[in-house]
Amino acid sequence: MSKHFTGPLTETMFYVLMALMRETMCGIEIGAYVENVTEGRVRIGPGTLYTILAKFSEETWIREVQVSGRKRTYAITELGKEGYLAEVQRLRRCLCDAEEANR
Amino acid sequence: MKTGQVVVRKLWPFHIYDLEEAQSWLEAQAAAGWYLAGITFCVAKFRRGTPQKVRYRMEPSGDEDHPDTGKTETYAAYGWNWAATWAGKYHIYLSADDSSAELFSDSETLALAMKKRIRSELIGAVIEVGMAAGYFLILLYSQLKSEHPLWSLLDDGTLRMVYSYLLVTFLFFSGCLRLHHVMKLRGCVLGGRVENGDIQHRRCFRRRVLTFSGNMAILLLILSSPFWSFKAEKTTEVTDYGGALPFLLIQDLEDVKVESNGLRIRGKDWGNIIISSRDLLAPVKLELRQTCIAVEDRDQPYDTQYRPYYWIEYYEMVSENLAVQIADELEEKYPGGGDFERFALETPVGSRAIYYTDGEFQFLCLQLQKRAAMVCYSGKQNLREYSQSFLEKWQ
Repeated sequence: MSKHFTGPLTETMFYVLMALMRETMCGIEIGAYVENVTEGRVRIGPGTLYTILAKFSEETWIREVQVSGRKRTYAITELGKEGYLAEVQRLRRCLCDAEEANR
Repeated sequence: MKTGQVVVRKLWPFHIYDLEEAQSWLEAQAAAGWYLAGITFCVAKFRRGTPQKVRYRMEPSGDEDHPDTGKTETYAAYGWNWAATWAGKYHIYLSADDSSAELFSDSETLALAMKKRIRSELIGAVIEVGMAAGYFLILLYSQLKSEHPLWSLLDDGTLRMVYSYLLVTFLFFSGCLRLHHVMKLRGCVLGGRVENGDIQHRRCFRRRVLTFSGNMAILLLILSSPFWSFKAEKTTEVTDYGGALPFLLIQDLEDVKVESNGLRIRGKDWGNIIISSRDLLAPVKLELRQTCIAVEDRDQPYDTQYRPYYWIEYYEMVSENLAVQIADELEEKYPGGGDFERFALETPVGSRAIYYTDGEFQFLCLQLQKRAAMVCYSGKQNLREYSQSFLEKWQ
């Protein structure tokens, strides 16, 4: 993980990475994917989406792979994948802890 | 929502940390049928449209005047249309669609976006406070160490000093207030309070008016300080009296023109000026009291040696030693004394005539061509009276 990230990913960041783990996408496609996969529970606003994409680009977790007119398509990098998988692992542990505590 | 061409301008009373208040106010304006069309300095321009419930939201920008077109199109696809940019610091978006997601759908990302803006505001506020503190220390140092050069710049009037301290105080509190608000905004953003609060624009308006009035009052005081300083007793120390008076003194006098080889003073009754004279006969302090006369001699032929005017200045001695010293020197150089009439006609380029008296005898110091000094004296007539008649003659 980059030294700039000191804490866990936010929910929105997590879903953005999840979308890009599937395939390269542009901003609108990411938003649509997240809304679809969460069945409307998480709706990403454009300000949030652009800020996250800018932050991830800055941290080289994602990179622009295609600029077609005004449409920018992003792909996740190895660093981003590592970050995403580490977060999945962390959430999995959280779930295990919760299940353990509920027994 | 359609907007027409009718335009009104309203005072924009918000500071950049009044995000919630600004958003609420804009929404209230839209509900009344006025849609934001632009912000210039402290004035917001509105266009008439259908009164409607809309949402205004702000996004920190990177000092650009307009978001790039690709971004505005994407935002529009999400239901957010760009309305204006506020001081290059925020892009303001408008959504008339209730169902569209918030511009910033989570507070963490808003905090992330605001981080840079808050940091730059914090730096600005800290610099403002620091400058006020620095200025205060310089003032204090100058006052304590009165020989410091800055002192002579500042100590030309009690009122001006008071204004300087007032300015420092104002700067300091203004900086502290700014710091407080930025910290408050930071707290709100980091605490995740992104939803709109109550409409507070009246409070913002009052605060802005107060700040603006305070600024203007201080500015007015500072600008008017030279005028009031002249009314007050003035004491200016000058350390170089060779040739033209130094700029320091000149800038403080009213209606003074610096000529190529001297200066010309038309002011009257402009207070006391202490002059440390090095280039005259002795390094003593002379106190110029009240009267300074400029006489323009239009009949005097102008050539390289003669200027078309004379200066006659009255001084009263503050040093008895000087009187003795001058008396000794002039007796040595000009036994029997000089002729004032002759002096008056033959004052050459850039000369300066100075009248001294210690009550017993009277004499004139004539400073020629900046440096060389010649002393004449006369016990035959009252030079003060003579000079006054001279002035009346030429006025």
